Amino acid sequence: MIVKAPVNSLRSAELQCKYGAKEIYLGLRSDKLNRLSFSGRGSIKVDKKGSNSNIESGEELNKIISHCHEKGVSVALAANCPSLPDAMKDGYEEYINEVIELGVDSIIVGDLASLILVRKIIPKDFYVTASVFMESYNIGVVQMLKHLGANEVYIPHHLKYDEIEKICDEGLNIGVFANYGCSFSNGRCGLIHRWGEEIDMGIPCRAKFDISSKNGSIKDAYPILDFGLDCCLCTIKKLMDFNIHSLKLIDRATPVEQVLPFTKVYSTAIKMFQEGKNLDEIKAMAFKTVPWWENQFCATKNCRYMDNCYSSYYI
Amino acid sequence: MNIEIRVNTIEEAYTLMEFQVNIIAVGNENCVYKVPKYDEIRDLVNEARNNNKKIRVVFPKTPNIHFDNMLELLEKIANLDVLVTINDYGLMFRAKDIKLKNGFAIGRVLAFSLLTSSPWYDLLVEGENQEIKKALATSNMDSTYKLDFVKTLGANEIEIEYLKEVCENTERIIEKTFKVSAHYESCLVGYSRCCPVKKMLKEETSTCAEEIACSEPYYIEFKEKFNTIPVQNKKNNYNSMTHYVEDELVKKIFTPLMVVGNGLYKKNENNNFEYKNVSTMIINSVFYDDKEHLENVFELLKIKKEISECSIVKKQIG
Repeated sequence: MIVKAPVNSLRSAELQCKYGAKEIYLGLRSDKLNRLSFSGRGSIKVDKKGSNSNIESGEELNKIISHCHEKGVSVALAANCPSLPDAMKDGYEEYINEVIELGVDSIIVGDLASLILVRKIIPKDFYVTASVFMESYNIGVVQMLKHLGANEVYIPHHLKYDEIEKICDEGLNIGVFANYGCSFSNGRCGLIHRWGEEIDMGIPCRAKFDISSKNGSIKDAYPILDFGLDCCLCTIKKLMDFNIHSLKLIDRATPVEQVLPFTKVYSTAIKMFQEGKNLDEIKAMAFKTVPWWENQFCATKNCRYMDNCYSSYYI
Repeated sequence: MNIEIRVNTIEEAYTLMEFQVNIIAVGNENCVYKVPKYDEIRDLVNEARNNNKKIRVVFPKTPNIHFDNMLELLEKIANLDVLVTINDYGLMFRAKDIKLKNGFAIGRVLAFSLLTSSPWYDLLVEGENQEIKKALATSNMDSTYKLDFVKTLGANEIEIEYLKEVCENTERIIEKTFKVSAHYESCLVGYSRCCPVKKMLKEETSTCAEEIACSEPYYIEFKEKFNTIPVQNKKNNYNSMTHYVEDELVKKIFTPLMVVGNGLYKKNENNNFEYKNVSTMIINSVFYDDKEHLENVFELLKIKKEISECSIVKKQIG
């Protein structure tokens, strides 16, 4: 199992490699779009150093690829726009061709049309990952993605162990998310944020709402939509037993300093499990590395894939 | 143009046999617990036949734990004279081998656009050129690759939401011989595997198999924004982690929404136009307080239907 980390600049790529990522993923700006992009994220300014959630130029991408390959880290291109109508097909094809030439190792797609198109234009043995936007809630979806030529699938945030185990039996590499995540199904959520909008919407699904029915007010200031899960530390061993290929960290629209603690903890945890260390030792490592971890995640039971504070509300 | 009504329970379906609708739809686009059992569907189909109506069964997005059950039901109803709508790619892919008698429609959980799903679409596409704006308003099914693929699985109908920008860009879908059906009064904003209604009521979803709690919409209005973690400083100090803040600007943008079970909806208030290429107009009874309101909508849709038929005849004569 490897850690797959987000990158939004050469500097962040260097840091992610240093802190233990074995694969990075990134998007590239396209001149066909303004603030939107062909990756799963819009183009927004991320930090005071001028980083953008999508890499600004092919030249910078080239440097990132060289650095990562030197460190034995592979590079995945995010080409997972959640929808690809015919009107955007040509621009998308140009985007793919440009990065293939630059030497990325794999492509992440987010829509059936992108998957079919990418499979037509890239070499047969090129590695293609179906993003979480494909909403692979069951084995049927994974079978379809395999049929269409995907090599790896990222599965949704709200799945249970038994379900993941069955999905893993379908013969594709499976990736899961490690830190944070959405309340609604990625790919079918319109509460879109950090897509390039100028207003900071916060995390919309985690907001508080006043709730009413036709009979009047029911509840004030209640986070009714919040089902965000934040941590998978206690599940790593089991996920390793299922042969999960990678643990993906979010997100490219955040300063790298916020992601690095997760890269360090998860990559160290994988190594420690491989060395035969137990969960208590791994938790001690995490709490020491990130002092707020226990209070923020363990106390709230925001755990992924296992019984958690929301699992009794799963359909 | 057909008029289709989506109902919440099988019992409700029986109460609508006298209404002037062509199709009564049971099941649900989001929640497996609202899908009736085979025997119930078979009996309803018989009753509908006597009343000169069709029955549609709507299949939701399906977590793996329910996948075998949904697949089994899909297989069982394959030979019944029912219409089927599928909202899950896994079920859709397996439908290829089942060979449903009337094919199937692709539901709006799979077929959508940025315009129909986002409450702040204008904010997201600000700064993009007209061509891109148009593309992002169009259904995600407006793709030759996608349409050709789903055709091989047996799809013959695509759901859209009844917005002018979406309706006007359905030529490719129609050219590829898909029928277009449109949701009249609402747009689906999001699907969650977790049920907000159950969370609010502090009940487990395990009770849903016996009793459906979400037979009405709950209206939600933005109150406080959720702010994310600040950057870690060199001393590893955090004054606060995530926190809530009031934000008047976001409140203005975050239009009121509706929660029905595990689906999040916005009202479609821009549906006052006529479009001839919609073969079925869908209304959802859950959004109407009583039968009187429903009847008013049926009347309105009947007028739309007459206008639509007139314009087709006019075109044929002309």
